[in-house]
Amino acid sequence: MKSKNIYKAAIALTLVVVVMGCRPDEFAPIGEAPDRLSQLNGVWNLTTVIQIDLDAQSKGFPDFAQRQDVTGSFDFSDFSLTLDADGSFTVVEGNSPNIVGGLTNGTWVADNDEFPSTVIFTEGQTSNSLAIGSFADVSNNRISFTLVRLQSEVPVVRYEYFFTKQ
Amino acid sequence: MKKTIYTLFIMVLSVVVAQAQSISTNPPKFTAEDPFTLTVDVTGTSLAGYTGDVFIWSWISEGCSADCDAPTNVNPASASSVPEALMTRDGSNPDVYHLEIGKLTEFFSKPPSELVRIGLKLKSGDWGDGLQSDNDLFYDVEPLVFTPSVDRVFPSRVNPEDIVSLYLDQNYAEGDLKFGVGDFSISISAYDVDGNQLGSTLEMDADNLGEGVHLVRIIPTFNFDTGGTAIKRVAYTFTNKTDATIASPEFEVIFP
Repeated sequence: MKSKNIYKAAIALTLVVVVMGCRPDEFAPIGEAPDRLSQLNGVWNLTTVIQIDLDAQSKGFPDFAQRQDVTGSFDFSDFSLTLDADGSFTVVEGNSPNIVGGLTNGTWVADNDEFPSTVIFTEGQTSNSLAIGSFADVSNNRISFTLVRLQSEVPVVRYEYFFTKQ
Repeated sequence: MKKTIYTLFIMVLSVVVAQAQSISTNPPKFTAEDPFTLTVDVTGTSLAGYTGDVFIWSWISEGCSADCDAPTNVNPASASSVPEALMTRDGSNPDVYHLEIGKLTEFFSKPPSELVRIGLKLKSGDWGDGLQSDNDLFYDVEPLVFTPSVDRVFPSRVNPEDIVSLYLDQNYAEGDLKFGVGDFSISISAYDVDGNQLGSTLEMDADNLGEGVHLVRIIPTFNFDTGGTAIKRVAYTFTNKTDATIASPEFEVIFP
């Protein structure tokens, strides 16, 4: 009888402990959503240019026939892109090819202020755009843009431009 | 005297025929599973000036084991019986015809391995009309698997605004070029659609990547002063820097 009462007490005590322990975890606040447009502001220096043959990629060709680092073949390190908060942009080419379709200064906008995926550059009557490759490393002052070229409306070549903020 | 006049006549006739009927594709290179547009100019042939429906008559001239005619080779042909073979007349030149082909594998009902080189003619609906593009025309089909070559170009499809990598791979060269030792230089010229040279000829040293592979990279619109004229092709030759007699044939890259 005594052991039976002890057993019942132990069960009851266990139930109390379990019930008292079931509380929702408290998570730290997520914080404010990052201001992507502000993260784009600044002076960006071009550091790496990768060229990808999309046709070769789709056919599973060897890696050297799919993708090449072409940075060292031209003076891409001369190229810098300034995106100002007032919506203006400036390109300094030096001896580098101009990756913004020849534009050097004008205005820039994003396709979506909250979730930008493309930056559109306009100089006079001409507009060109670069897709934003990734914001993943923007906290480390690095960002990438991409440009896809078409033939007969079929993507054939993709360029990946990697920048570091000055 | 008669023999001289006859010879001259044949030479002139050959030039006339050579200037007639031409073939081009867009893109310039494609595999058996890539879509492309075929363009044929029948100027100077018996089809010139013809206003009725024109059809393609095609066959596999290399790579085929059996039944090498396209399934669309029927005679008489009509727009309803073989719509896939009906050529589209060009809006500005009635002697130029186009045909969009989705996949050669579907057009010929053949695997890629049998589609190496394609022969074709254009004809009216019935052979009995005697109206056709006269001489056989041909185009090559790129292999589906990666195939190294003496004159590899990266990427495989380029526009004049692209970075174009021009390779010399001596391992796939013939004759003295295969065994030339040391570095190479390259001479590159750009041309417009009419064959006029644009800007100056570019002379550069090629990067020696080792094992007989040499590389030069250009951006045609960046490297050539074209005055705004579109570049249609670049032609180039690699020359050994130690022995200038060792040189490649002239290679070319044609843009869409």
